[in-house]
Amino acid sequence: MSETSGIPLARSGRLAAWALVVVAIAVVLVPLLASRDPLAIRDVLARRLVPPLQRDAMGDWHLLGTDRFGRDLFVRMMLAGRLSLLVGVIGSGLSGVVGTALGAIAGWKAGGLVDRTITAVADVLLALPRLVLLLVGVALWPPGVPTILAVLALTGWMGVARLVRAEVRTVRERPFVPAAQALGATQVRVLLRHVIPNAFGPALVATTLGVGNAILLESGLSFLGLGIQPPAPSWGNMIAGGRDMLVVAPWVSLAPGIALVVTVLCTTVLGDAWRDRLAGEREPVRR
Amino acid sequence: MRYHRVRSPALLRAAARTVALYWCVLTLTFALLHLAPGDPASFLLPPGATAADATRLRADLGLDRPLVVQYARWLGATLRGDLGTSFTDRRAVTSTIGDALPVSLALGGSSLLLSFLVGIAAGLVQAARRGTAVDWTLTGMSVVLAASPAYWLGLGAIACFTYLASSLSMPMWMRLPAVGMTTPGIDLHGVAHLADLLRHSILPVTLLSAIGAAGVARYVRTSALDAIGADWLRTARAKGLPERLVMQRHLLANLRAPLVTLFALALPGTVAGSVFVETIFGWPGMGRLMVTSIVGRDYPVVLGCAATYAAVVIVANLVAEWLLPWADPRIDG
Repeated sequence: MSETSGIPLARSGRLAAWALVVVAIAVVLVPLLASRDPLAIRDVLARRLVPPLQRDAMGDWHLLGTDRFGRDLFVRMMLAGRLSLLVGVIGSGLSGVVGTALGAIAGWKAGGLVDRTITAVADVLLALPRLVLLLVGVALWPPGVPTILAVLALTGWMGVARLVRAEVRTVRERPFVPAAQALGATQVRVLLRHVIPNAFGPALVATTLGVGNAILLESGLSFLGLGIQPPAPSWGNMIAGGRDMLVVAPWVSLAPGIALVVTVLCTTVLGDAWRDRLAGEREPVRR
Repeated sequence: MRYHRVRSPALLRAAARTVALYWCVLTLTFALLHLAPGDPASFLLPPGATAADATRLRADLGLDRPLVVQYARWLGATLRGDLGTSFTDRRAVTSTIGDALPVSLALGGSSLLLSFLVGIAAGLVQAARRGTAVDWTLTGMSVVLAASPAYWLGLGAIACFTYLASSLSMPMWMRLPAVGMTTPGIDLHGVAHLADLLRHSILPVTLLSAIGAAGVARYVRTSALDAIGADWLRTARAKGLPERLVMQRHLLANLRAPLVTLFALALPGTVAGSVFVETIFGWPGMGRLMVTSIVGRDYPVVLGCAATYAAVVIVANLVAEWLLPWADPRIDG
């Protein structure tokens, strides 16, 4: 833990990690165990727009109420969480992997043609706001989870690549690298076994922090109607679904929004705590 | 003064790099649009159009030519400052963007300025009183704001200040308009027009600057706490400077360089934030133009928007690079 932080972030990080575990278990189990199908539309008139914690005309109790088609919001929200979490974790993870690979190659061959090409491509992609790239990619290709994941990975690797490139360049100068080379290890082996593990910390932190960002971006695209397509629920398209009912049924937009904020908050807090611990390890005595 | 260094070749190289970067961005956008599956003509034709109509429309828009020819024609026209005409409303793209860009610049610029003012103040207060209730509250607020999607907060703001305010029959001046830049149907001039515009901008500008300020405050707090243990700060305190001067003169001067970098980084972020805020509040800016033109496959407008965004980002980075030696004299310009 960093000396400079006034708040015990390590504890908050542990708390956030546990909260994320609970969310992950809930989004897997709740739709499995639920008695009602979150996608089926039946008895709309009897069930629609039931406020939270109340029974509908059929006698069923709804924790978070129902939407305009009478679907239970809590179960739907958990089903949406599966997609949102999946897109966040895999989207950020993919860009982390791509970024680590490209950054490591660029840092290892620093100054060479490969390095200059990778850096130039990163510069070009960074010259457009990420949302603009995402919008172009998602709107033009057939919408769906694979498109979103591909676009998230291709537009998110640059930050990680820069971090890893800088790390690899310093690690490359450490004595264990020529030692491994002297022992006859191949370049690939030195890079994979000795350099990347020592340069991996910042990439992992950036990827963790990227999960929240990816969830936010996916929800934004879905809100604009360009991401996950209804009837499959995602937090973004659920919020969009309640947009014109803010007055009569505010809970329809409120519930998925809170789920989204809590999840993103936890990934951010976890990432921050992790970064602080990493900084503490590298610089044990401060002040 | 540095007499020993000839600076113009470095400047030329930087200029060449910028031009090459800009060309790459334009080409990338062009390639992305034209390699995407789907025929833009099919999006533009009314239902019931025949195949002959489609062929005529494609010829009309120049979409029937080989891609290389389309690219060369488009690049040549762009270099001459002609961004083409929109597929949908046949207006010149330059004039469409000319209408939308000031809206976004005003919205983004004012909120960026506000977010830095508020964010720096909040971050410094947090650093000065770290561990206190004030610090905790501000940290909590900024973390939650950073985790919230702009469109969701926007919907909440509209629900509170428009619907809730009117259902609680609050006084008229406390109810804020939810949509648009001006009151429709009324032709206002001069001060009345300005006041109307200001009332309409309260919600979107507050929202965007609150989100921005959250990020700035977190950044300033961390940087300030990093600096607070430094020897030069202890010296400033030891010589008896009042705390306010220590903060303002010494600490803030050392935060100048990171803040300039953050400013350049924040600019594209403001663009992204304003896409949602413009959509929610119905402001006719670049963000909304971009979304509608992408959905409608209006290639010239999308390309024009991308060219504008890239220009803004590249110029912001250049300005930051140019300001850095001023912000931190240790950095060699």
